[in-house]
Amino acid sequence: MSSVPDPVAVGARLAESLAVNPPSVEAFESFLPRDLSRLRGLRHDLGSWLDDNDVGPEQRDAVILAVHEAAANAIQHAGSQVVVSGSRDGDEVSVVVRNTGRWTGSRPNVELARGRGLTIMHGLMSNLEISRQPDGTTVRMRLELAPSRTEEALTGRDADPGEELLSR
Amino acid sequence: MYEQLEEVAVERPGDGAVVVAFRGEHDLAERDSVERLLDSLIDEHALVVLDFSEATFVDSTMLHVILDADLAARRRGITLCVQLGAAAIVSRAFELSGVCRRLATVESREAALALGDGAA
Repeated sequence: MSSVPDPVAVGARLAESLAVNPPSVEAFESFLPRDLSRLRGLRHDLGSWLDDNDVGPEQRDAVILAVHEAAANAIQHAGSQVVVSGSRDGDEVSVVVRNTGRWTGSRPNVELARGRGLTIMHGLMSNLEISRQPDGTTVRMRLELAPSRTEEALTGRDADPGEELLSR
Repeated sequence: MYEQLEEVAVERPGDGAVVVAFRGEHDLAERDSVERLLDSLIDEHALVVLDFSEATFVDSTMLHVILDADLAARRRGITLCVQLGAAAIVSRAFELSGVCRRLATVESREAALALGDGAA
């Protein structure tokens, strides 16, 4: 059985967390009709929103590609419109892609399941969940905003001269 | 033939080689046009270079089109290679999808055209 948390301590941690990681000013939301030509606009709108939320270029591009893959699949199979909603909470970005109608294919989501799109999405995101219901499919993805690979590479390069000196 | 592809240019540097330069963003909305273009070029050339060095976006559908083109090229004894460049997300898409393991990738036009020397 879990103990009852001390409300004062919880409040203090929450206040501290909010001070370090302010919530996003505005969530992202986009409604797409069944039209593949609208995906380019979705990518650009999402990119602007990620820029506004101070997401670095490499992680911004990763989110754009993963969301594009989910939305492209949803548009190809959705019976009606596709809804993309995103939020930045502290050190992570979360995006949900769902279709609001019935899947039109006899085997829902089969292309996503067997295709490269899913492999790419898994490779880009920290976490990916796909839930299938009779009235549609929801893809939830999350990316932790750790330092980008570029920053890590720079840090690694900075460390090299020291290692060289040590090995001499 | 590829009038719908505003950000695709076809260059013929000689020696039976053709370079298809993809600039900007490429996704499933142009799948049919790119398929038709690559089909027609594979029939006419000994070396096909798909230059993505100035592309800023490529999705899994386009990667599938590239793999299909590579299979068609191999069946006809034609060399196909992909040139990658600055945009990290484009290189990452190629790597994550496994396409890099399936076909030749190069980092410069010189390296791409050199692949044709052996075939010619």
